Amino acid sequence: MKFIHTADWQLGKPFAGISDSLKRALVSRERIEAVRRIGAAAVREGASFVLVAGDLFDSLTPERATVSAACLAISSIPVPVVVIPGNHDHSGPGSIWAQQFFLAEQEKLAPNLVVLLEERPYELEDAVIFPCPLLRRSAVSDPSAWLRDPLVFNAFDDLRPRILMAHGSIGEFQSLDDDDRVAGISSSAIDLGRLDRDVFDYAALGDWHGTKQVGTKAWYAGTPEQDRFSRGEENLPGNILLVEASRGAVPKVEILQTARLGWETLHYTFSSDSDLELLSGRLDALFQKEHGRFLLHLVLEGSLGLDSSVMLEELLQALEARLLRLKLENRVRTAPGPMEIAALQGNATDPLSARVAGRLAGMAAGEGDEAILAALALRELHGLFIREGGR
Amino acid sequence: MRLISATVRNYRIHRDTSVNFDPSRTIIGGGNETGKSTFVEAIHRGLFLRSRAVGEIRSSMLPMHAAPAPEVEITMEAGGSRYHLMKRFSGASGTTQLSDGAGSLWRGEEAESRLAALVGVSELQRASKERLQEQWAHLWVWQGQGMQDPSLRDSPLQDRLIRRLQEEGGAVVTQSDTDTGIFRALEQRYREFYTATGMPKAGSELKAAMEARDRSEERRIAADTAYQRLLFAINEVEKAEAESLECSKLGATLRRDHAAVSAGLSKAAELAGAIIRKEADAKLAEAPWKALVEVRERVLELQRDISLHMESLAPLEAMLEDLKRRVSEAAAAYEAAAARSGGAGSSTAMAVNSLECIRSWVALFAAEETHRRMAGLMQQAEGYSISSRALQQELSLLPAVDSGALSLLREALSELERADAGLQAMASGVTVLEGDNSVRIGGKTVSEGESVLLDDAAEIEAGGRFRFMIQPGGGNSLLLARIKSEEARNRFSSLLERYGVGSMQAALEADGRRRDLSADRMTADASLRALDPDGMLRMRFEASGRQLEEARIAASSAAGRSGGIPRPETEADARALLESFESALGEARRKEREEHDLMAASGALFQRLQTELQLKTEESARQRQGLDACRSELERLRQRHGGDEALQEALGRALGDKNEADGALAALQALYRDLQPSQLEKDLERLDRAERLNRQRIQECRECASSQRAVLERDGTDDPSGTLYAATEGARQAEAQYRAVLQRAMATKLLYELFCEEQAEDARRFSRPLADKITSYLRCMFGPGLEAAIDYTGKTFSNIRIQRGGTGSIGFSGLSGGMQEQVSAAVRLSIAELLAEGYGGTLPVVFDDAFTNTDPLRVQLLQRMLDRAASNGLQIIILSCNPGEYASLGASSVSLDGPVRREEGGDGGI
Repeated sequence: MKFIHTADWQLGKPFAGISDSLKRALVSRERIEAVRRIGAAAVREGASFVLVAGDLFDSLTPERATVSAACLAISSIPVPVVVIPGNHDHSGPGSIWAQQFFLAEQEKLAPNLVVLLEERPYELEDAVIFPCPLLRRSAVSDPSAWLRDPLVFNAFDDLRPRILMAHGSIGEFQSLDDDDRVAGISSSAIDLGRLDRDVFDYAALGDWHGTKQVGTKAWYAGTPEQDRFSRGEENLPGNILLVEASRGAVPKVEILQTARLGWETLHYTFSSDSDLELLSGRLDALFQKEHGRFLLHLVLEGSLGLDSSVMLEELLQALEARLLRLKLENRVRTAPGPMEIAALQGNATDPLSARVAGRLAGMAAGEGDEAILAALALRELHGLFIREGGR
Repeated sequence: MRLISATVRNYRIHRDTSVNFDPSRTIIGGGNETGKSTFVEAIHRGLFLRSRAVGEIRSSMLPMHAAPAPEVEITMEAGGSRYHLMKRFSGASGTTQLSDGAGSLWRGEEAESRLAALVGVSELQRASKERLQEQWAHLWVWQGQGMQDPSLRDSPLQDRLIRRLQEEGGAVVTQSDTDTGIFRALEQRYREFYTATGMPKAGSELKAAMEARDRSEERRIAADTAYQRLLFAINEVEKAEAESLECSKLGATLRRDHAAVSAGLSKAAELAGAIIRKEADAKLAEAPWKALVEVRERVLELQRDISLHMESLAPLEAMLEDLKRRVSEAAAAYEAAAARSGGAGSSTAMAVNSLECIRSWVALFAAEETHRRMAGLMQQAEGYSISSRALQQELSLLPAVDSGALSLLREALSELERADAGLQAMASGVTVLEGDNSVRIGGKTVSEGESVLLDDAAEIEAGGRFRFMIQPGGGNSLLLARIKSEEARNRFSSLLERYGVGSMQAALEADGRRRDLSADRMTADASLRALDPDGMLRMRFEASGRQLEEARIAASSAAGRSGGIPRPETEADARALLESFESALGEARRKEREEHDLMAASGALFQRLQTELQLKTEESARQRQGLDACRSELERLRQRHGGDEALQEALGRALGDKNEADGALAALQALYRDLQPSQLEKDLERLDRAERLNRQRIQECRECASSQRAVLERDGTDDPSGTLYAATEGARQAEAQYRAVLQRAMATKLLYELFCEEQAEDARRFSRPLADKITSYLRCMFGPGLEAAIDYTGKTFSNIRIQRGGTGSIGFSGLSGGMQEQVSAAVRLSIAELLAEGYGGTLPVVFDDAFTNTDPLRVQLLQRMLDRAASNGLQIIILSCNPGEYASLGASSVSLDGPVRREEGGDGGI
């Protein structure tokens, strides 16, 4: 028996960091498209059902359009889609799962969508699901605690595989991003170690956005479409898991890629003006003229001369326009090169500009905010000098 | 360039005026209206106004009366050559002629152009008064403009000055075109960011970024508030549900406790009934036991009482015997003391009577004396009264003449005497000098030597032979005098008659007597009043009589009581006796008191002993009665209960029954206490209250959850968390954008400020030579502590200011009028000195009454400054009404007061 394990769709994520509304809509739309790709994979791989281990929606209160789009996308999956609430879309008062417009859309568009809101086994034809839904916002206890009652598993003595669904963190892993902190969202801790290893056959986990195995039978599927820049500790985002499970056996897990967008992070340090060209080359190679599919977190450091600094500005402006998003951390210092300093400072025909340039160069050689301002002023003077036909 | 001479003809007041100028120092003097200003104006017109000028300017140059066209001739030196200029201002046909010493001659336009080149200005094709005045304005101080700021503003000579300053500064400090272009662009960028005061400019990118940031932050706060409201509702519902669950659990516990307490209370009620029954049983068992106990107690008590009574009676009776003996002794002692006291009382009574008798004698003596004195007084008073009445009687018999009557009588007598005197004055006196007594006048015989006064016609007979009729003169007057005399006499007589006197003398005597009698009577009345001021003397006299009588009776009565003490002979004897009897009475009374005290003490002792005897007798009787009663009762009890042993046995049986009943009751009571029924009742109340509150709380939780759920009901039109994410990111981006713009703005500001600083430094260097020259001129007047400064803005010089002795600098407008004139002169001289290099080392500087606000003392110092300018090559020309003030300048002096050919009544001013 095969099924698809996925989680953290976080449909309706606002991507507020993307200032351009069109690009923001594209990125948002791609998450819905990822659901359709999951449906296609389920068909392709012969999965019996799809498990979504929490955070189907990004928020407790998604808009109607997001709900409708989600239900439509889910309806394209021809097998049951079993969902538990996660920390972003937990159950309880005010949850989306009790809102009339959701229930109406679910009934009309996605009858295959099953939302498990109780700590009670859910039986499928060829598997028994043990859901650990997050039932309230202020849940602090381990949502899997109810499984520690031996009677829970003893009620089933057939050969159907027993599959846990839970959403939360295990051990040191935490999956909170900046938005979570803004919204005051926290993760629940799950302690599967307190369960007898043999009572379940697979633990379908959610919350961690990278694909990650955390036990012989326990996996985080990760988000099917990457939604943030990786921070190093995350790995393999943009996947779903194809799981083959049976009672009493170790599950076979296959990672299937579903992501289409590229979330790239690049740290680059300029040590000379010629590095600018190298950077440009690296970016071209990375994007392969498919800039519209990429989001880039670019961290720039080092220093550049006045001309190169201006050229870097132009390059960054181009990237800003082309990419879905350019998240820039520009710590590049503008430091005029000897030639530039000589051109400005040693200019005998324009003595006023020359003296000002000399003073600015002295200030820019220092440290702190004044040096940064002086470098900027120097660059401006340089630009004006060229514009006025100096040199 | 230097002026050598000038001739002005037909120019307003001047018909033909010539002045030769000193190469260095010339003073043109002259009183008001002598045409000084007009003369130098004419020279200025000659230098700068084209000869073909028409219109108002030319009209203003014309004399008042018809005359040929105005002419100005100027001889000057420029560039090492001497030039002669001749202009005739005849409108469109005006002529200009310029020649030099080398024989060159220029006419018309050529001459004008050559002249413009010599004076270093552009030709004025269309001259206005203002444009004309701008020519050489810094060299030409027009009358009344001495205090004007001498800064070069748009002066035609400014470029020359700047070139000179560049040469002086030793460096080219002006900006290149690129510098200028950069600065202009930079200034524009700066102005796009900031206002003139350095604040972010409205509508600027910086201001827009700042406002966008603020708006974003407001949106973020609003989104956060909305999201927090949502979270609050969720938390409230969750909290209410959790609390509701806890309350439900608590409710079950409370109900269980309630049932247990109710059961306890039922049990307690049952026990209470049983206890009541057992209490009745115990009371029934207790009654016979209690009765027997009481009997036994009573027997014991009676036995104790009998013993006590017997113990008490023996000493009591012994004490009674002793008391009886002491009572009889005390009775005897009291009777003896009473007898002694009675004797002493009789002696005292006797002494009292004797003393009373003596006192009545003394009082009688005193009453007799008083009555005698009163009788004497009465006699005196009677005497005064009789005397007064006799005087009154005598007074009443006197004629009724008083001082008023006397006055009337005197007046009537005087009138009579005056009437008689008048009559006699008019009457004729007839004296019989020799006769025989036959002479009869008026029918009366007149003896010899007798005179008759005739006041009426009277017949004089003498011896019957002669009869004469004498008719005194005066006619009616005599008659009237006689009538008046008669009337006076009659009135006087009637007055005498009215007052009952015969003459004036008698009236005077009667009045004297009346006065004497009145005085005597008043004396008698005064004495009487002294004796009896209130008229009660008689009453007092009569009272003393009665008192005397009473004293006699009292004395007689007292003598009777005293046992016949005889009356003393005198009052002194009586008083001696009185003292003796008073002493005897004191002694008798002291003795009586002593005896009385002894009797009282004996009586008190007797009384006390008698009372004590009575009490003890009564007590003895009571004791005996008690003893008898106890013995009787004891005997009766023993008989009723069959003796002491039988009583003891019955008591033991009754106690056993009672203890059994008490034990049963105590057991039930212990059970009841253990149940703590009062506490159970309170528990029941407490639990009822807790259940009620718990139900109430559950209801509140439900209501709270219900109300907050309404908040959580959504229609999907918005996503508060998504809105918050977007708003937070928006705020972050807006902040970043603001910081980026701010950084650019600050960089622009830094660049702009550095340019301004460098320009200011350039300007400072550029204007330094001029400032130094101004300083050196002013120091001639104000000493070495003065510093002058002037700014160069890249176009013009301005902001002249001075600083003295380390104080703050003062701008031109802040100076006094005189100081403004002096500083202005220093600036002009400095500029002229700098410019003179381009004019062959010299230039004329004209001061037309330029120091009218400078006080005479300063004018002296001012001459040092002017002299320095002349020494430095300038040609100083001063026009003054008071040329004497400039005497120490050592200047060549020209006076227009002299025989200069001028037109009468001309206008001297411009």
